[in-house]
Parts: sequence; structure tokens; C-alpha cells
Amino acid sequence: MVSHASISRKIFVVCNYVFLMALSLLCVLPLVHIFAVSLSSGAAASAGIVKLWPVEFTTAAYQNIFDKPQYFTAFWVSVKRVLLGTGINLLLTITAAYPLSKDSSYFRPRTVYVWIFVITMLFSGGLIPWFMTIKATGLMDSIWALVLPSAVPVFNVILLLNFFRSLPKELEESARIDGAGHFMILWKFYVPLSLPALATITLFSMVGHWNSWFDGLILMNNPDNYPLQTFLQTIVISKDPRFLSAQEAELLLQMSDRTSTAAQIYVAALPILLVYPFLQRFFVKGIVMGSVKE
Amino acid sequence: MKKRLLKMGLSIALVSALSFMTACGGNSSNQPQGETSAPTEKTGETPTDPMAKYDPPIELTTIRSVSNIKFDEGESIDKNAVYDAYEKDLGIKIKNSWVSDKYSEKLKISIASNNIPDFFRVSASELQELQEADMIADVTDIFDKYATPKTKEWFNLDGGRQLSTATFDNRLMAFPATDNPYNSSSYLWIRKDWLEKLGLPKPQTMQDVIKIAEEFTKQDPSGTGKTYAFALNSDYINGGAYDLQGFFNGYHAYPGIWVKDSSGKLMFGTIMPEMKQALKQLQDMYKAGMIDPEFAVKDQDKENELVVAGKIGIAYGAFWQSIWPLQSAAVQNGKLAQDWEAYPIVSIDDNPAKTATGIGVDSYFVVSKKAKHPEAVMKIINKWIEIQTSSRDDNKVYMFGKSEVDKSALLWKINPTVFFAQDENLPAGKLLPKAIEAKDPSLLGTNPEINLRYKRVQQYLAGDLNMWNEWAISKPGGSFAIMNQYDQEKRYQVDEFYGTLTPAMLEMKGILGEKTKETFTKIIMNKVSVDEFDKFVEEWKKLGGEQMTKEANEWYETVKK
Amino acid sequence: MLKFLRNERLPLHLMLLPSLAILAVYSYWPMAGIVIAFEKYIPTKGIFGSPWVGWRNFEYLFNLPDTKRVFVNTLLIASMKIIAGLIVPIFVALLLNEVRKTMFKRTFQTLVYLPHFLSWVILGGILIDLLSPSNGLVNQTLGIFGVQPIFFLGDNNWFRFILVSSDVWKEFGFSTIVYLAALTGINPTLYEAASIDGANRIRQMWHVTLPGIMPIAILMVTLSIGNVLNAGFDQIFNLYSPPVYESGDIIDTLVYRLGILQSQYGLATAVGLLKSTVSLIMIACSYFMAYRFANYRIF
Repeated sequence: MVSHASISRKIFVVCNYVFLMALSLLCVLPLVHIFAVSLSSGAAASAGIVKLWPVEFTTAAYQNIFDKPQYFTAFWVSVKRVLLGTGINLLLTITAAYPLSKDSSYFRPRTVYVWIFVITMLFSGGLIPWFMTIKATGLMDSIWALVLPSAVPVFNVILLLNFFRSLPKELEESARIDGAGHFMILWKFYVPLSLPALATITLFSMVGHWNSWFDGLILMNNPDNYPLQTFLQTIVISKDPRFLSAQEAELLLQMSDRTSTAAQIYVAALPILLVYPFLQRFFVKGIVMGSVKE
Repeated sequence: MKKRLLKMGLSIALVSALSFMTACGGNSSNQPQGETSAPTEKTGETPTDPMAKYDPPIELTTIRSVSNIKFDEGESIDKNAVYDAYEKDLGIKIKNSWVSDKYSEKLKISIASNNIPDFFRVSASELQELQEADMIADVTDIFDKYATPKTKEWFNLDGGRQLSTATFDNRLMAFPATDNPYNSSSYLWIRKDWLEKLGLPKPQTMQDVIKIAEEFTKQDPSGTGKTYAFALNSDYINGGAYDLQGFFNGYHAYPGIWVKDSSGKLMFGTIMPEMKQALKQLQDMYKAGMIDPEFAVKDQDKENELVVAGKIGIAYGAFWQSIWPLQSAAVQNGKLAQDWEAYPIVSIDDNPAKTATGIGVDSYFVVSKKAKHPEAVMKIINKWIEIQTSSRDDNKVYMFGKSEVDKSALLWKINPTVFFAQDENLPAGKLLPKAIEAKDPSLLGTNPEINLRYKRVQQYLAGDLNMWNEWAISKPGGSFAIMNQYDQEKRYQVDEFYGTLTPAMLEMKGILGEKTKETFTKIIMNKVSVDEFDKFVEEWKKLGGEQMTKEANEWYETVKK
Repeated sequence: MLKFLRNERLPLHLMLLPSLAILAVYSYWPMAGIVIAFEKYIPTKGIFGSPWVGWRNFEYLFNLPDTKRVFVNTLLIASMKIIAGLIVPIFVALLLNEVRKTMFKRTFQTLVYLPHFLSWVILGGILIDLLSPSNGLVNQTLGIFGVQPIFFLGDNNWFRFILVSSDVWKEFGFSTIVYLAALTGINPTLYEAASIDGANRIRQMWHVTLPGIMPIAILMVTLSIGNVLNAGFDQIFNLYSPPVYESGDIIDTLVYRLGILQSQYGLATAVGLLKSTVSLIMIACSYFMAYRFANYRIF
């Protein structure tokens, strides 16, 4: 692309960089602060004197998490859940978004179908019926309880169907003329052409699965089946001072709720944070047209 | 009550192997429990052995949380020496339906989906809900027949008040998790080092406290340029730490509990005219900059930042306030940085200030209506009471696990039912200061808790500042000693209402509590005039307070007789 | 006709089948539980056996003290969040689109998406510090310009502004991702054509980029309109206090504070049903208006 570099353009570019850098700083500083808190002593944290660097450095908050053997089983449950859950989500999202992306002149029932999907996004019977349904289908204490009930992410389906609609129609038509069926068209054209969109919904699915903790708590009766976030939610430092043993009182000095929650954020979020930069390589501009030209 | 105890003792003397056979045989039928007045025994008059062992063993399901227990190697909440001991001694296998440290969240689902275990711990409102939904067994007769004399004595030490909070229409529907009411009493914690620095006497009256607060703010002993007098958190009415209950009590106002008014009727302490005077004083102090202007958005941890930074000198709170949060302020960098000391709360006039306390029960053990052996729960409870009241060696496993040595691992928490004495900690306030002064641990008696506290005080005296919090509690003149002093001087204002929650209370308590907090906070922060209090009282009555008071008094009539 | 259907459209139905099956079991079946909103739910009697109370749960809800204030606050805060949550991510995506350095772009994206993973419990503490009138960073900075300290979290004039801006701050990076994905779909030849026509960068942004992401933007706003009664419980709960109830108290916080949801499932379901119905009306209206006036199907 030819650049018409003018003075005003240069000023814009510089301002743009400065603004974006300031913005990212604004987002990072609180995280640095939280990281510093997680590595500070409970006393320092409760004094509120930790800024961007740990005070009275200690890893007690992390140790308190890692010392529990449950951490590793919970981590494994989470990994399984994300892999299984995202896989199923992705499969169902793609297969549902494709027919729904068809024009109603071609696929008349699509509008009815779309609303069947949308309604589920808006209405729910509440916690108790939801729980009883899952119990009735025999999923309690199984990994499927965390995966199946949320197997159709309607928000993602709608997002993807919009992306599908914006794909050039010529390709599909020529393929149809060559005798390709819907499954073939979906697999050969739609999927490869929508990688950025698929990367986006994959990310949403993974983050969603990784972060949810309440369903794990309600649907697992044995704490050994807790996913990581549920497990972390249950680590609370007892503040019932009457029953504080000598050891606990000491532990409370080294760490506090605040350092502990701060550490949890890092323990919990780090694995999922690493996913995004990896998925970013699918965000290549002009990928659609590039492949059309071939 | 005495008579019933005596009868009970006699029937126990008549215990036979036969009766024990009927005890378990009679219950294995599927006959629903609790619907008839004599649910557990068809034979009625047959004397029963409260501690008879089940053979073959039976199974009881329950639900648990495991907060902070340090299990022995290879043990867990599902499988451990304590559960084994119950099976060995009583023939009762305890099985956990689920285990979670988010107990109340999970319990709610279990109740709502009609999926409850044989016995479990609930809160007062959950008890009410279960009772209304007809899900729990009437344990009146089980208590009569199967509670040992010791157990009955344990539950009736306070004259049966705690029991009556679980009694609906004269039927006992749950076992209150007994505890002492004194734990919620208030203390006035002040920085003694500042008092000395400014040459101020220790507080004897509310006027002294106000004077001390003024001096702290004016003279800025912290040297930071901004010293506040009071530590206050957003939940200041019943916070336990950094709250104002003790301050209000100094004005003879008792927010949150029921008191008798001049005509002998029950009145809710929150709307007492004395509250207005106290709020006025708080507003004046707020205006004078003696209170952290941001207290309304701060919880105790957040407010504690100011305390740790040395900007605050007075903090009303519970006896344990030295453990949390004050310890973190008092001991900094291995030195005693702030010397906090507990004082008895003080009064605005010549009448001594009384400290407001609740009934002392905040949870209950209930038995499912579907439980096949409801009386087995009573046996488990009997066992716990026996462990607490006798120092038999073979009971040590229940307190300390398989090693039977005290490792302060909190293994006693594994017991599925836990009760505390209704006068717990009062003996501690008597014994500990004496023993510490005399340096004679033999004065302590056998209570393991008291002995542990003595040990911790000795550690403090040997230079371990981590034990400062224990010193502040147990030392001569510490908060335990004051707790005892309150008792001796009859300065406990115990909640006069100890029935089960009335319909209006259930429905309106949340709304009224919120209205209260909103109005009081605005008054303290000088957003509205103190006269808003009068309007609030009217509104409070209209919003359901009047109805609540009426129902409370109807109940009161029934117990006065 | 039958043959045609079998050949061409049957696969489309087949593709939808697994999803519909899942939705039938895990969404539509439990939806029967909505009847609880009209009952006094009793666990032993179950969903269909509990006593019927008609509209009483809704009446109770509307007769709570301060109901009006709370509804107004909810609508106001939620709408402001929806609008700001639409504009800011698009704005950032457009600016980012102008950046040529891939490394910078990727780093930026990763950094701004981080706050999404923080909880309001922890952010609440940080905001109280930052906004403190006595020693908060914000007031200290303002102090340099001679501004008197402002108690942002205790001032009804500021509280909503703080809610909206901190929410935008937390979520804009995450929402930007969708627009970045949409940007990749824009045909580069359109830019080339525009630049040959002599359009400068701003005009290109206006005439090519913005229309390119418009469908997604419309979709996002339609879906978020469904949240017009969800003003963000976690956030407000961790930031508010009695002095700002007037401007910050919303349905969810009120209902929580009053503790009326403790075990009153009828009431809880009624609140949910109310929100769902309003959402459905809002979304359906936008959908049919877009279809009628622009002949455009949002989804």
C-alpha cells in the first residue's frame, strides 16, 4: 500500500501510539499492583502499603495454594473441561451457525430456528430446575455435567452466523455447481475462510469454561472433581478468630485474604492468558480475500 | 426440668439389653418419623439406653465442610480416626453425601431440590424454611428418651433459652448448636501508648472517651498529620470488629436486640430514643474530623489499613479483636508498634453500661424426616457432650485424631456435631489471669483450651510477639477478665427475644435492617440532620416494625407465664 | 418437492439437530421451572405441586420501598454501560487498525484484555484506594490543577460515572477482540480502490472500515440491549455504600441486600422472568425494526 505520508498523518501516528501505550499502561498497572500484593506479606498487604513492588517478599500465598494436593487434580479437571468443552462448543457452533446463516429465501425455517436459539439465551427456569435436570440426566459428579448443559453457546452461534453471512457468495455457488454438498461446502470453504472468527469464539469458549466455578461447586459432590476455579473459590482463610489455632494465627500474619485472592488471580488466570497470544496468529487481515484470489 | 432429669436418671438405671434391641429394631421400619408424637418408639414406656451401640452398624448420612482442618497423613473428611471411633463406640457409620467449603451455597440447593441427608447443620433461617416445608423430624421425644442426663444439663444450662429458639409450637425441631452468648459482648480497645504519651487517664465514662477522641484528633499522636479517633467499618452495627455496638451500649441503646421498655413490653433496640443521642454524638465527631470520612465504603480489612498505618487510636469490638485485625497493627517488623488494650465499655451517665449480646446460637443440627435412625443423631451428640464433660482417656481420639496428642491441628472439628458450653470462656476469664499472675499452671484445671491459652501466653512472655493477641485476651485485665467482670457486675444485656422467628421478622428483617443502615450512615456522615431519626422510627414502624413488635410481644406473653 | 428437500436442505436440518437436542434437554426442559415465579415454592411439593400465588411475587417486588429509584438506576446505569461499551471498543479497534507494527498490535491487544480476568472484589479495593479523597492518586493529580478533593464513591453526582468508566475499562479490551476479527474480513481491495479515488486515511476509515464492521456492531448492540436490566451486580456491590444508594442502588443489589432471595425461589424466579421478558421485548423490537426498515436481519 502506498503511504501518503504528510505532516498531519505523522502527527496522528505519533499521537495514536502514545494514546494506545497510555491505554495499555492503564490496564497493566493494576495487574502489576495485584502481583506485588500476592508476593507481599499479609501484614504489608493489610497495611495497604504495597504499590507496584512487593513489600516483605513472601510466597506464602502461593504456597498455601500449591501445598494442597487438590490443586493438581483440580487443574487437570479444568484442562479436561476446557479441551472437551471447547471442542464440543466449536463443533456445535459451526454446525448450527451454517444453516442459520442461510438466507430465509433459501432455507425458510431458519428464522424460526434462530428464535428457538435466542430464546434460550434470554429465559431460564432458574437454578433449581437447572440443577434438577442435570441430576435427572445422571451427570452429577461427572465431567459431562460441566460440558453438556452449556454445549451450545448461543451467543457464539449468532456471532458466527453473522461472520458466515459476510463471506462472498460466489465461492459457494461455484462449488454448488460442481456438486459439493452442504457438509463439504462448510468444511472446505466456510471453516478455512472464517479462521479469525473461529479463533474469537474459541477464545470465548475457552475463557468461559476456564473461568466458571459455580456449576462446578453445585454439580460436584466430591471436591476431588472440582475444576480449578471452584477449588480456588473454596480456599478461604477462616476469620473466625475464636477457633484460630496458633498455626492459623501465624498463617494469617504471613498472608491475608487479600494476598490470597491476589495469588489466586495469577494461579487461575495465567494458563488462560497464554492462550490469547497464541490464537492471535489467526487474526490475519485480509485472509478472506487472500484465499479467494488463489 | 429438675424433675424430668431425675426421671431420666432412673430410666437409665433400668437399661437392659432388650431395650437396646427395640431401640434399633423399632426404627428399621419405614414408618415416617416425626408425624406422630411418639415417633421413635412403638413400645412407648420401654426404658432405653441412650448410648447403646448399634449391631450391626447403621449408616447416617451428613454433609460437611473442612475449613482449616489439618488432617493426619492418609486421612480425609470421608475417612478418618474420628469417624472410625464413632463406628467403633456407637455402631454408627457416618457417610458424607457431599463435602464443600462453600457449605451454605450447596446446602441451599440440597434443600430446594428436596435432597437432604439424615442430619446436618443449618442456620436459623434455614431451620425455619425446613420446618415450614415439613422436611425435618420432630426431635422432642428423641431428646426426652435418648439424651443422657449430662446432655440435658448441657442444653439447659441457660434455662432452656437456646433450646426454645428451636422450639416450634412446643415441639423441638432441632438441636441448637449451643455456644456462649458472651462472645458477642463489646470491648473498648484503646491505644495505651497514646494515652500515656498524651498523659490521659484510662477511660471511666463516655465523657472520658469523647475527650480522649478529641485529644487524639487534636494532638495527632501519630505524627502523620491526620489522626482519626475511631475505627469504623461499613457494617458498624454488628461487625464484631471496628463496630459501634459498644458505643451505642454506652448510651443504653441496644440496636439489633429486643429489650424490655418501661412498661414491661418488648421493644426493638434500634428505635430506642437513646439511639438518637448516640447518633448525634457520632455526627458531631464526624463533623469534627474524628472519624474516617470514607468508612461507609470500607470493610474491616480496608479500614484496618488506617489502623496499621497508626492513624487510629480507639476501636470498639469483640474480645478477639486482638487476634484479628489488631495483631497486624500491634506487631510490625518484629516489634510491638502499637500497644492496644481492652477496657470495659463505659457509660454516658451514672448507670453502668451493659453490653448487648444475642442468645448465643447461630446454627442448629436438624434431622431429616426421612432418616431411618433419628435417635442415632442424639447418640452422636451425647458422645460429644461426654467428651466435653469428662476427661476419659479413651475419648482423646475424638479431639486429637489417631495420634491422640494435641497438635493444634483442629482435628476436633471432624466431629459431625460440635457444641460449646453455654458458659464457655467465663471460667477462662477467672482462671487464666490468676494462673498467669501466680505463674502456676496447676490453677488452670483440665480444660485443654484454657491450657493452650496459658501456653501461648508463656510464649509471649518469652518474647514471641506473634502471641501478643493471646496476651491481650488472657492477661490480668485482658478481655477475658473483663468478660468475667461483666458477668459479675451483671452487665450483660441479653436479647429478650428467644423464640423462633415470627412471620414478620422473617419477611421484614432484611428491609428494616437496610433502612436502618442507610439512615444511620447518612446521619453519621452529616448528609441528613439527626432529626431524620424520628422520621426513621415512624417509617420503621410502618414498614413492618410495628407488626414485628406485636408478634414479639405475643410470644413474650407466652413465656412470661 | 420431496426429493428436492431430501437432496438439498435435509443436511441443514441435520446439522441443527444435535444443538436442538441439547437445547431441548438443558434449556427448554428446565424452563418449565418458570412457573415457580407464580408459586410459593416448597421443596417437598416440587415445581408443579407447590401452591399457586398468581402475581403476588411480582406485586411484592414492585411494592418494595425504593422500587422506583432502583428501576431508574438500573435502566440508566445499564444503558450508559451499553453505549460506552459499544463506542469505546470500536474506537480502539479503529485506532489499532491504523497501527502497522504487528508486534505492537499484538502486545497491545494482550495487555488490554487482561483486566477482564480480574474480579470486582479485588478491583473494588484498588478503586477505593485510587479514588480516595484523602490520599488517592486521582485526587492528588487533580489537586495539582487546583481541584478540591472529590469523594467519588460517596458522591451521587459522580458515582454512576465511576461505575460506567471502570466497567468500560475492565471490559473494552475483551470486546475489542470481536471487532478485530471483523476487521480482518474487510476486503483490502476496497482500501486500494478508495485510495486511488484520492480518499485520505480518515475518509477510508469512515467509508470502508466502519461500514465493514457495522453488521457486527449492530449485532453486539442488539445482544447487549438484552442486558438493559443487568447493571452489574458484582461491581456495584463492591463499590457502593448508603450515601450513594440514591444513584447507584439497582434491582439486584436491593434484592440481595434485603435478603429476600435467601430461599424465596418464587421471588427469585419472578425477578429473572421480569428481566427476561424485558430483554425479549427489547431484542425482538430491534430485530423486527431492522428487518422492516432496513430489510436487514440482525441474526
